[in-house]
Amino acid sequence: MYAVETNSLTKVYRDFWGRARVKALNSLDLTVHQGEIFGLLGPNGSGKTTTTKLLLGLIFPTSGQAYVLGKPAGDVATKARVGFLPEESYLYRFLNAEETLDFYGRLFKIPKKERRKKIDELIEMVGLTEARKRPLKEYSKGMARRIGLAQALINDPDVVFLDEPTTGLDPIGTREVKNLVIDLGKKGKTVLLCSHLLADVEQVCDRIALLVRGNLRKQGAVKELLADKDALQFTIKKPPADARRRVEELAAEMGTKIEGVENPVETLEELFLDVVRDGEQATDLDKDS
Amino acid sequence: MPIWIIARHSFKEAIRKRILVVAGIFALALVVSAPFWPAMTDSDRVKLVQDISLTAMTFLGVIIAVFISAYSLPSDVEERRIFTLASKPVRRHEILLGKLCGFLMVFAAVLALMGLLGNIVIRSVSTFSRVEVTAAEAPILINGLQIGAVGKGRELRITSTEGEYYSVVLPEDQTLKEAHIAASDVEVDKTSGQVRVTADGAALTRNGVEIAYAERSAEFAVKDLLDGSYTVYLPENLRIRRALVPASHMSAPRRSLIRAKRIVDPVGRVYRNQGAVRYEEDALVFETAVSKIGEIWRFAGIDADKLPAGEDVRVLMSVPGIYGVATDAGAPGRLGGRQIKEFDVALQITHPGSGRLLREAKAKAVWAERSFTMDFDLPRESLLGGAVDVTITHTDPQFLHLSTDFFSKRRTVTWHFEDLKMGRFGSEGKIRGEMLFELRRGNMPADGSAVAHVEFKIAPPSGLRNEIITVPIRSRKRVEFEFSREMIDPHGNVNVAVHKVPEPYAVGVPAKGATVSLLEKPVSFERSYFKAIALIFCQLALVGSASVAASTFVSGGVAALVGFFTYFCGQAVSLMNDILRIGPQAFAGHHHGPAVTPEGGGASWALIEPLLKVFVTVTPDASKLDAKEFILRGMDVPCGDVLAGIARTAAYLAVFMVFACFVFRRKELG
Repeated sequence: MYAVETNSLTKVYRDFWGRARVKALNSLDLTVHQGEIFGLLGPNGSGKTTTTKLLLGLIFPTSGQAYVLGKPAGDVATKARVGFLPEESYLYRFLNAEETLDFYGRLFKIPKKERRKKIDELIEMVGLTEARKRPLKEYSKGMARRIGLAQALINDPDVVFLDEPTTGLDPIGTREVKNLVIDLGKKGKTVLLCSHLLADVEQVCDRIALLVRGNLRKQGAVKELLADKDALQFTIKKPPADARRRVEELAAEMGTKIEGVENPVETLEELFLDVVRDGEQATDLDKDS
Repeated sequence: MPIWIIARHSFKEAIRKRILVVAGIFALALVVSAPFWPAMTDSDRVKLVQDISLTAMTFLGVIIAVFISAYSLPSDVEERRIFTLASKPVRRHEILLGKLCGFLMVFAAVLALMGLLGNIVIRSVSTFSRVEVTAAEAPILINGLQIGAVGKGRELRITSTEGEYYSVVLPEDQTLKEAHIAASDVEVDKTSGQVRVTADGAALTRNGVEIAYAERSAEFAVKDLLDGSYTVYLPENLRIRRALVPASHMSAPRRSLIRAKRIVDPVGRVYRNQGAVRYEEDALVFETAVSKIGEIWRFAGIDADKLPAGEDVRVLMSVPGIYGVATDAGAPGRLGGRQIKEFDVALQITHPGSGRLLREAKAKAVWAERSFTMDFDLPRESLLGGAVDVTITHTDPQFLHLSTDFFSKRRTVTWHFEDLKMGRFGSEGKIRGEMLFELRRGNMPADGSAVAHVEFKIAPPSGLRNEIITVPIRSRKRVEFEFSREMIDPHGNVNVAVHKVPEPYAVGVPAKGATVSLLEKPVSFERSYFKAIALIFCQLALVGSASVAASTFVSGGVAALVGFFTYFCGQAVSLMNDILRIGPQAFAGHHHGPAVTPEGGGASWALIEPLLKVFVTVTPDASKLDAKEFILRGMDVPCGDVLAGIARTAAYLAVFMVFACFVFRRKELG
């Protein structure tokens, strides 16, 4: 059983008269294994949020199926095991942090004692202990994000959907969230992370999928996707002074040569851009033909 | 229960948004507007507050209901809060029903608070200030002389301040029920154990103070026979219920929220009757029921703009229902064997506020059957104040004189149902009473086997309408009778008069037994008020659920319009029903020009009728959810009406919500 599985999931947004306005998602086949931290990548408008909403049953697919923990998307019993942090934290401004978590906790039918404990724990974790009694309308964007994250974890979910979890957070907050995601992974939780912040994704995700204009362009383990199969990169700790000469000799012996010698760089970004460029050309061609 | 959690949440949201402030505004508006209420009397004022409070409650309630219900869901969707909510393990319909339940709780809370505040205002309006006796003992004074005393700590209701005295309502145990009468003025009737007045007017005294006046041949039950003076029981209509107490012996009056207008004039005389005013082309018509010389009739609500032209305004005073005239026995209107056609009347017209004499007038009254009309002029300016008091000071011959000689065939007795001043009487169309009568003439066996079917005329003191009831009477037996509630006027008064007695009987009311008691238990005003509010709640539930249902597929603003539309359609149903009842004429009546042929009117009617029928069938009828009429008429709101209202509301609500859940189930929330 996969944590998340979609079969030819297609979503077409229609206007009032039922005419197709935009194809937000085109025949998406996605599988996320349990216990995996999965990154859903794509530029703005590529269908990441649409996918999340479909998986949560907030909107309904035009065709295809979506399954969460083996059950059709939107299944009430499954939702009890799912946590969701939307793109921006949309919460009730008249409640304070405690009341917010209490309200959502009640919806999960968490017993009172346990709920109290969990609320204290989460408020502590997201660093809102000082502001726990203040109404949310007074919160800054970053604080709202933190309480949003806390509400997503109130039910100790098996699968967590995080849509742009680090927007609005300062670098420290960003780091904390990333650590949190890694921790969730270690605890065996499945995390579906939607983001266009490549560094974030690269650091925490086991596998990623790249979406462009509603089409899945790439899917796989981060390491695999980033690896250039025709080349090998060696990283040598504390190389001796003549390391380069000796490696070049070795390469000549093997009938090849060293292409470049440098410190490791961010290559995900290049890949990302390539894929986006390819994807856009491909859809333009589709349209032309 | 997700529904309950979401309901509580919606309720909290509304409370945090300070919805209940509206109830405060409501109460404030009631209190602030109070001085401007154009009511002359307490009971009018109470009715006005009831009217205003129920209308305001409906009005404010509907606005709150529509806005809360219409905007909640759209704003949740718009501000994307629905994402976090709908991604939790709740079903779509639970969100919708939860919200609705929360709103219903809000409506209930708002109405409860408004009802409570409204009730406080109404009570404050309907009760006078109270004072407490602070001295060891405070004397009760009538005409400056002490007739009794009240002890320390005793609470009394004051009706006005008279210089250094308060005019107070005597508590039941202090009400003067007995008096002394000079032995020389009466003879003792050995068989009945009563005394009969033999003098031409005997003084009833208490501590040497004359408190009332008895006619020749009046009878009183005796309490004590002492030399020189007998103690007798006063009949109900002669009891002293108001007196003065020195203010120095009392606490300061506890002010009521709203000061009630006094109905006692400055000289301490309580005016007895409120007359009706009519306008005719060349005269102003005062209508009243009269029974006594010296009684004050107040004619209020005179509209200066409607007065006939001229410096002096001609007034026709019509006085129906004059009974008990001390003339030839059993022959009212006859004197010395001759039918009286006219008689002289001396009138005093006084200012209702200050008691200042505006004019003394003499008029000729024309005697007709048990009623007469007086014709006199009043200076225009005396009427501009909107009210005048009229007292008949003297008549020649002495007609307007209620004799305590009750052995005539006709007799009017006026009972003041103090309890009814708050409009507390039951829901059924009839009032049941009980009364002790006597049959005195003819061959009436004492064992009560003979029955006389006596007609009684029941009328409000204004005499503007009446009802004749036939009551089988046995000698000295209590009889029960029934009459329409409309016969009790807004002040809680009703006249019961013997109208026709079959020969050879005569009917009298003994001095002691002249009592009427209501068999029907008075209903509490609060209960009626609560039921009226329950029905208002149904109205709010209707417009609220309509708004919620609409908000599942249109924007908040449009949903609010749908809510208001539902309300106004509901208001229109009774009108549409009327049109349907009248039929095509109602429709044809509006045409101008050539006469409408039946075919023409019929054709358009054929088009309109099915539409109207569909409209009245489909639309919830708001008039069935409005109990204001009951409250204003002082009637209990029938439980059946309330239950039917709730059932109807529940049915409509269910239809709206099934529809809404169906729409919302497949709604895209993104």
